[in-house]
Amino acid sequence: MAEEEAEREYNRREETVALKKRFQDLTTVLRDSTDSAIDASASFCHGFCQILVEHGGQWKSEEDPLPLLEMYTVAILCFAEATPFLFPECEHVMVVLEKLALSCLDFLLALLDKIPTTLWEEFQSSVKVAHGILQDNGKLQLSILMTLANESGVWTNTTLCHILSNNMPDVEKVHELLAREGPTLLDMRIKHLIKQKCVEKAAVLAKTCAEFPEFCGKKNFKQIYLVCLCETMSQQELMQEIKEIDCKDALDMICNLESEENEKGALSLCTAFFKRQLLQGDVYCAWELTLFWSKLLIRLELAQAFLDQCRLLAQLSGSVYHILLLIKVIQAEVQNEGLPVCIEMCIQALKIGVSDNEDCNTTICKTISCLLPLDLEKRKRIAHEEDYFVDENGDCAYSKERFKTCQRLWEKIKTDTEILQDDLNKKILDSLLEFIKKCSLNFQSNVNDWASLMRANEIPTAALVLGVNVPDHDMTFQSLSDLLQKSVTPFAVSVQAKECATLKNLIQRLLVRLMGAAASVEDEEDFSISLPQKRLSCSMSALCQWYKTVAKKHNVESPGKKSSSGNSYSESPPVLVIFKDFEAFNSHVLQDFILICSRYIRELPLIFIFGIATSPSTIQHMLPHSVSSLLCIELFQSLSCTQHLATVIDKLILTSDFPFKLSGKVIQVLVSIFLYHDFSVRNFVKGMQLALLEHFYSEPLSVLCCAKKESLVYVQKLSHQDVEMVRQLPSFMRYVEAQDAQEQVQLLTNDEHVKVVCQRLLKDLRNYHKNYYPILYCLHTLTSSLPKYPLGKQIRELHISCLEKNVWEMNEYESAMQLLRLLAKDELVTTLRKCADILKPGKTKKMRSALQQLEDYIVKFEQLDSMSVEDLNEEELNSPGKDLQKKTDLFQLQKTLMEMKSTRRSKKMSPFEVLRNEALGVIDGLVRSHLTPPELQPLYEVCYYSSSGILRRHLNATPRTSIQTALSHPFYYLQNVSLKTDAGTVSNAAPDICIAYKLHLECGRLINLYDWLEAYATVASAADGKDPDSEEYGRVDELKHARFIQAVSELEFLGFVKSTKQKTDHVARLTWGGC
Amino acid sequence: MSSGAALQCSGYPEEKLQALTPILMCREAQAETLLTLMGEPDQYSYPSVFIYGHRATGKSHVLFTLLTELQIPHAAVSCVECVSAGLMFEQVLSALFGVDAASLLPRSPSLSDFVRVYRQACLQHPAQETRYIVVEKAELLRDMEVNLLPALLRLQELVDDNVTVFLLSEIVWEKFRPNTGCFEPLLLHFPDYTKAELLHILSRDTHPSYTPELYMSYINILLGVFYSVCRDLRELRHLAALNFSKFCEPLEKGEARESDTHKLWKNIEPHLKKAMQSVYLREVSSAQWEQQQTDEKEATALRGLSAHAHVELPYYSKFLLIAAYLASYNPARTDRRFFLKHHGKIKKTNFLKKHEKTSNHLLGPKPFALDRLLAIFYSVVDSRVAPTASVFSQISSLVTLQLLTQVGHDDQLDSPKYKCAVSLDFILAISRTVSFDIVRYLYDFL
Repeated sequence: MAEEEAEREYNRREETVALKKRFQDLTTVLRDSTDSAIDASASFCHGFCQILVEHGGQWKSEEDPLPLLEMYTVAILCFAEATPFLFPECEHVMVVLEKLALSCLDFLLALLDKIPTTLWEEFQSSVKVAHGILQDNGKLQLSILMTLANESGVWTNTTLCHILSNNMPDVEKVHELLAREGPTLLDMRIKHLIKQKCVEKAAVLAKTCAEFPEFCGKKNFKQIYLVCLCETMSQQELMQEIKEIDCKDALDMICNLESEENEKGALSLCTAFFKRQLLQGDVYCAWELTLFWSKLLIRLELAQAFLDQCRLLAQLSGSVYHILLLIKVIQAEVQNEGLPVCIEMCIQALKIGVSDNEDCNTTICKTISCLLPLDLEKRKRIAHEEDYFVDENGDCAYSKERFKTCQRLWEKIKTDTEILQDDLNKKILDSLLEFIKKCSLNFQSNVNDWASLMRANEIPTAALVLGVNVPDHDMTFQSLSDLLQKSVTPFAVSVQAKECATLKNLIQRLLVRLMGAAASVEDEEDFSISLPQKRLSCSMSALCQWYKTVAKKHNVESPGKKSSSGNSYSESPPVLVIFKDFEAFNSHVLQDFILICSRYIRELPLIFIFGIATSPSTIQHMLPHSVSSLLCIELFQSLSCTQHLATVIDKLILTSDFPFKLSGKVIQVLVSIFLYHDFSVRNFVKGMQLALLEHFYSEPLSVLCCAKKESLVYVQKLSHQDVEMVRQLPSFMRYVEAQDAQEQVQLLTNDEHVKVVCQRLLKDLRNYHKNYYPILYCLHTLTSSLPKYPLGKQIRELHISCLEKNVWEMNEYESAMQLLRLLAKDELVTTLRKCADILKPGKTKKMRSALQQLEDYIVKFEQLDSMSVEDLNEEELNSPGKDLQKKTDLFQLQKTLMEMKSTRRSKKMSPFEVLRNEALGVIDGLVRSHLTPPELQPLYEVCYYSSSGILRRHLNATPRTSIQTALSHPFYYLQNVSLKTDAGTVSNAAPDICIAYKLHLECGRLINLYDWLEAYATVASAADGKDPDSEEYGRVDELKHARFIQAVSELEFLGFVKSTKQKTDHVARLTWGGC
Repeated sequence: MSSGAALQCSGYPEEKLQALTPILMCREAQAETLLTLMGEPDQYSYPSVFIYGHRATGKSHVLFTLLTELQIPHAAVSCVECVSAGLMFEQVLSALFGVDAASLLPRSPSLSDFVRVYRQACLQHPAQETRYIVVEKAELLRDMEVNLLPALLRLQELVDDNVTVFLLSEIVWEKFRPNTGCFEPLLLHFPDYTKAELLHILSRDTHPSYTPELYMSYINILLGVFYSVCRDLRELRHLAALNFSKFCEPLEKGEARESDTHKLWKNIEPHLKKAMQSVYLREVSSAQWEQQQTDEKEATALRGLSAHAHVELPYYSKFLLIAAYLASYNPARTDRRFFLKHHGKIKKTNFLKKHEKTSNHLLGPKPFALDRLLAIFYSVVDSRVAPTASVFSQISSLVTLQLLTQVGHDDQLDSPKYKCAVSLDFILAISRTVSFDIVRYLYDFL
């Protein structure tokens, strides 16, 4: 063991000697060097460092520090000896010396074990020698080491020990120590203490240093002290300690720490100050603190921990301002993740804010609304829709089912109408497509033909006449552009007038949309070509350039691509510009645009589509000949909107597929809005949607309005309450009354019985509908060919009259039947055939028997052909025409005519006539049995929506009437009992504007403002309950004056009066009539 | 009209000028003047030249032929394309000095930016010969920044370079001259082509498979029909191309020979007359016209654009339009007579002021206030109509359909004024559909 020890000792000696030798060699080299002084010094420093590093690497300072100490001793001495030969101004020398001193110091401070005295003494002596040499050369880098070397050990100074054990010695002694050691050494000491986890000691030392006046501003002892405090002390003590410190200084310290990469320290210091501010509710430097804090925290922690910290701090906070700042940093750092916490904080802030002021609350509410993303609101609303349906009808258990049925039916209506529209548009779209394809072919093949060389280059243009129902056009254009993109070209752009107020806007739109479209088409390829490299100059030539590159690319790729992607575009796909609302465009913009385009038509295959609402002649009104001669216009006319409506009604209303029905009045409202106001099928369908919603919302029993099976199930599930509701239905009551007494009792007392009956009645209702519609169509085919259309030209008119009353009781029906009785045979047979065709798909028994009857009659009519014509001749012989001539007396003539009429009835008719009457009798019978109004069907309320008033109010609003109602009958809207008055009068408690309005109705065209004010003041005083005899009564005080002026200006705003210059102090009335 | 002496101008190769002569047929005089104005390549030219003349009189053709064939540096811009002056500057710079110079311009450059960049570029590429800037459709310059036109006129001075600006326009210089005065450019007029010149030019486009004489005679017939209505060379050439196949039909079928001029004339004349009424007015598109010639059968089936004048309108819209028409064409003072039940007898002669006695239809529609429109509307419509929102929205949709026009500013909320923009025929057709006898209500027809 001892041997080993001795060996190590020997090794160490050996090493030290070797080291000394190396340093001396180095010094010799330096001394003998022939290089310039600077170079020689530099190479010396370099070699010196290398030796130190090599040598020092052999030992580990933690395990065996002594060899290192020895090494430092040798190194310092050697360097000092070499100093005289070194070039004094060489920067390397300074640096090496300084580093050497500091690292040695560092090493010494880290030494905890006691250093062997011999070694220490050796060190002391060599440092002294070295310092002496260096001092002679004017270098003081070793002075710190010297200070240390004067002591008996590194940490052994008594004063220091006292300080560290928090046992304050005399101030003078302390000062002497501090002055001797200097800030650098002390700083290093403190850092070592912190490193060795003696934070408290470090704190004490740092505090002492911070309080020493000579060090003021040096080395941030204060900052170190505070960091130490943060680690050791409790919250309260800390607060006490940092109470006095200015936030600005704190911010500086935090920045310093951060730049020293002591993030933890910075964070703890920052947290401490932030907490202080929060607790004090102080907003001084609050934003900087919050920002620093959040930035530091998010560097060190995960988002979740960050949010937790935020929440904790927000709870500490007493001021809304701090919370808002926190929300801001949360938004900046973690965005959506922090949303719940933010909202929580907002709520907290609102709680605080209640006691504060109004402004604050609005700010918070605004913050919340900014925080909530749009889709969240939307989600809320969708959920809300159903809730709304459910909540309002809490009494009924089926609101959810009703809502679902309603949604389902609406979906069906929507898809059906869309399909219908596509079908109707198919023809025009196909021809349009053909035109465009032809044009794009022309573009490619127009080069060499003589005629096309001579011809001016016109821009192919399709004038698409769509009718005035502008709201419907969107769908058409949508399907058009879909179709085009699918089959002809990716470059189809639609523009609207409102976004193209100037030519520049138009071209900009065009460019942006085209180039954007190209980018999306070729997603997988590089963007660099499709996106313009430098700023996009908005000109057609830019577009032209772009098109060339894109088309070229297209061509290069198309051979390979065609097979794989099925891209059916032609080689140079045309660029389509769709002007959605041609009439609304500024004609100058259009003209200029067409002029520009015509300049580029050879390079850019443009095709225009004009969406025209009125008539094609508008093109000529808008474009002068010089411009229209640049276009090659072809006309495409779409189906008229009335036809469109007829098909929609056929599909949606005149069918038994939809359980939901509209009553006659409702249909009339919808149709009249269509015909009188807008011609828009889309709005018609929207109206139906409203009716649908209203029906399912307001009628609890509408739960039964669904497919057959489901409705039967729901009937079974009806509660007692629901059954009561069924009993209260007028149609059901009528049904009950028609039953015998025993059945009535059953129906009124036994719920189960009612359910069974309901099931039967619902089936009957379905059958009624199944029979109703075919017969309706039959009747319409029969009557629509009659002159003057006694029962209406459109089937919807017939339908409405059938819905409202017994159609056979109408005079028009009677006259129609009479006209039918005069029909010629072949006409009658063809219409009967049509009727038979209509009845064929009918599935109910009654329909089949009706069909059978009709077919029999058709056969019989045909058999008539083969009968002899004798009967007809006979009839002619009997004609009484010749008798007429004899009579001359007017009275006699009339009498004879009457007789003739009666005799003709009784007279034998031809077989055809007999058959015709029979056939029509059958039809009449069918009408009478099947076209009864639905009101007579029990439970019709389940399926029929009949509140036309609501629908009219919603769809065809009358703002003016509403305003007048509000002004003349405030009770109507305010529902305040004190406002309830007889018709034509206004209570004096009514709002000022109502009183002013009422008073102004009594005036003529010009109103004297002062008279008006007087009258108003009288009424207002009455409202205040003043005694009519007192002097105060009717006097105009400031308040009344102000109220009056406000009321008048409100009336002016609503357009009832306006100021006039005709007479001073008068206003003019803008409405007619009085009360 | 044989071409005169070849163009002459020193400084340009003789043979090139020689080659130009047939291309610039019938415009030799103007070309000569231009060449004299331009002078030799390195000579300074007059700062600005204003060239005017009707459409298709060869202004651009002559100028560009000279500039391109003689390889003279030039920049061509069309004002209709330059939605902003910046675009024009960019085009000029990139044409004269390349794209790099144009990219020096800042965003939305001003005139002084342009001059600055031009001077910079000029230093790098000093002028060897005169540069030319050709501005087409110069009449639009008047609508751009006020300083642009005067600056272009003396650009030579401003940029201190050998540059000349040509302004091409269809209207005369007098309409250009700004109030503040400006540098007067040289004026050069391009007169219309005479009939003989037109014939000469048009007959150069001979169809390869027929003799030039035949084509010449065809053009002669064509001009005989169209010369009275159209002297636009471009349009005439277009029409000639469209109808030539019809002219050759008898030849193809073997019914006539090229010498049977009368027969050919008989064949083509009515056809051309029809063309004048339809395809020339673009009632029928050129493609449809050609289509029609190939399949003779449905020749009558095609209807022109103006044949589709009928517009379907909602019921109340029709009445609103009728009311608007009445309000526009009847003096307001006569409303009482037409729309009140117990109006007194009004004698036409004494009742009206002098200017109201002339036909209102000759004077055109007059503006009317919304109130008056609604008052008339309520009195002409037969049923009671609630003043619903959709009635008001119909008025504005009539405005977007350009059947009514709003007078004054769009955002005028307070009593907007309108004019009725439809013709008497249109309103007669509309009122017929609602069986309303509008003539009885029109003051002019009383």
